[in-house]
Amino acid sequence: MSNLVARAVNFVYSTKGSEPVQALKDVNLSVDEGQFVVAIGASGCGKTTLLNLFAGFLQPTEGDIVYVNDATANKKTVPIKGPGKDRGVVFGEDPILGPGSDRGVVFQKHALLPWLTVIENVAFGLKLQGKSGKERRDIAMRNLSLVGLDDFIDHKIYHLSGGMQQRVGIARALTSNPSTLLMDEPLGALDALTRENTQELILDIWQKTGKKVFFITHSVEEALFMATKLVVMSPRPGRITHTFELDFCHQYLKIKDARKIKSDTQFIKMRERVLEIVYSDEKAA
Amino acid sequence: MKKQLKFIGALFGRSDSSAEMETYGAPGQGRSVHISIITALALIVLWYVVTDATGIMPPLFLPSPFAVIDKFILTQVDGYGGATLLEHTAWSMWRVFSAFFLACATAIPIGIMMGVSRYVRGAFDPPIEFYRPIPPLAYLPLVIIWLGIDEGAKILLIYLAIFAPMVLNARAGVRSVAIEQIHAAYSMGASKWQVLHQVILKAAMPEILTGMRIGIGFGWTTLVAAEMVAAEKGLGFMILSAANFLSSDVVVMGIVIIGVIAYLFDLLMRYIERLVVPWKGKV
Repeated sequence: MSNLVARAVNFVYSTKGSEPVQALKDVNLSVDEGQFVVAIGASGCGKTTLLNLFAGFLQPTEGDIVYVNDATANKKTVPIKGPGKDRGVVFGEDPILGPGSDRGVVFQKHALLPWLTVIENVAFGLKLQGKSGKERRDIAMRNLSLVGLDDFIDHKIYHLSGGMQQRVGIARALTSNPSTLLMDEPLGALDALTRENTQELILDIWQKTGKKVFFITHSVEEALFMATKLVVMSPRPGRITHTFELDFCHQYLKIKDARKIKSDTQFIKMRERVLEIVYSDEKAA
Repeated sequence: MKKQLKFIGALFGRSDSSAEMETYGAPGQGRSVHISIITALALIVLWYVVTDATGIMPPLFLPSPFAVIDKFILTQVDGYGGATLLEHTAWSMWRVFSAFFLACATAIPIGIMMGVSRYVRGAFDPPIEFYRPIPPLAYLPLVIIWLGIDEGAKILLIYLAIFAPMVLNARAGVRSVAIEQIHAAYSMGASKWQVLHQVILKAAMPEILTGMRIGIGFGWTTLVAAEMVAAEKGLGFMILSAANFLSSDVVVMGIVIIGVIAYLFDLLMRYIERLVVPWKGKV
C-alpha cells in the first residue's frame, strides 16, 4: 500500500537558444491508494508534464516524485531484527527514477504497435518480461475481456475504431498489474457517445481492480464525473490552483446511471464553478 | 454527369483495391493498374507508328520495336561482343545485386545507429552528405586507381550509389517512431535493448524497405558508369559498345532489358512491403 506523491516539484524545460520555460512550479499532489485523481486545466498548464514525471519519463528539476509507503500496513506483522529496506534513510519512501511496470500508462494517441495483433499488443509487456506463452495469453485474455474486446483478439490494430484502440491501450496498461494507472487524455479523440461509454468502462475497471488512477482531461464534465479528487491547474507557470474532493463517481458506481449523475443540479452547479475557473485561465492566456 | 466525374476521378487513380473511387473522396483513390497497362500499350503503339508504320524516325535514331525484338532473338544465340545476351544480363545482375546486398548489410545498421546515437550520427553525417550528391562518374577514376579494373571497382561504384539513400531512409525510419510507443514500452518494463529491437526496428521497417527500393534504383542508374571501364560483359558494356558502332537496336534493347528487370524487382519489393509492413500508411 503506497501513495504516489509529487512533493514541491519544479520542472523547467530548457532548450538551447530560447528562454527556459517553467512548466511546473511548486506542485504538491498525492495520488492515494484507491483514489481517482483528475487533473484539468488550460493548455500549457503542465498536466502532461506532471504525468510524465509520475511515469518517470522526465525527472523533476527540483523536488521529488516518490512512493510514500503506508507505514502502518506491514510493520505489525514483520518483526524488526535490524535495519531494512522498509526503514531506509528516507523513511518509507521509494523514489521514482524512471519508467516502470508498476505504473501503467494510457496515452492520448493510443501508441499501440501496428505490427502486432490486439492480443499481442496487450501481452507485449509480459513478453518483455519473459513470461511463457500460455501465461501471456491468459493474462491478456482476462484484461481484454475486462474492456469488452474478447471477440477482437486476433484483429489488426489498424482495423479497429478509435474507441476500440483506446480500450486495447487500457487493457495493455493493466497487463503488468500496475499499482497505478496514468492516463493522459485517453478519451480526447473519441466521439461523444464512445467517450461517455468509455468513461463508464474506466470507472468500472477502477472499481474492479482497485488501482489508483491519475487521469488528465480537457473536459470539465468528464473530470467531475470521474474524479474522487479534482485538481485544477493554471498555466505560466504550471501550478495547482484548486483542489476539490468529489463523490460523483461513487454515486455512479452505485446507481449505474451516468446521465442521471451528470444532469443532477449538484453536478451542474459544480460544473459551472470549475468551468469558470478554467475559462478565466484560458482567457488570460 | 456522374459518369464524367467518375472518369475524372479515375484519371487521378492510384492502386488501392480496398477503396473504390468516390466523387468527393480523397483524390487518387481506386485502382490504377488498367490505366498503367493502357499507357504501356499506347507507348509501344506510338513507337511502332513513328518507326515502321510511317518512317518519321529513321532506324538509326530509333529502331522499330520489331527490329529490337529481332535483335533480342539474335543476341540470345549469336551474342554481342563475344557474349550472349543472357551472359551480359547475368553479369550486370551479379554486380548490381551484390552491391545491393552489401549495401543492405552495411547501410541499414549504420542508418539505424545514426538514428539512435548522436555520436554515430555526428561521425557519419558529414562524409555521407558530402559524397551523396557527387555523380559516380566523377569519382569513378579514383575508384579505378584505388581498386584497379576488376569486379571490385565496379561493385564499389554501384555500392556507393545505393549506400547513401539506404542509410538516410533507415535513419529517417528510426526518427519516425512515435515517442509514445517508446514510452509505452519503457513503462511496461522494457530495457533499452528491447525498445531498440522490439519497437524502434519494427517501426522503422516501412522506411527501411522504401530505402531498399530507392537504393536498387540508384544501383541500376550507376550500372552503365560502372561498366564503362574494362568490362567485357554486362548490359552497360553492351550498350556503350553498341553506341560506338551506331547499333541503335542493341542500345534500345539494353535499355529495355535494364528497365524491365528494375521494374520487376520493384514489383517484388512492393509485394514484400505488403507482406512485411501491411500497416504502412494506415496508422
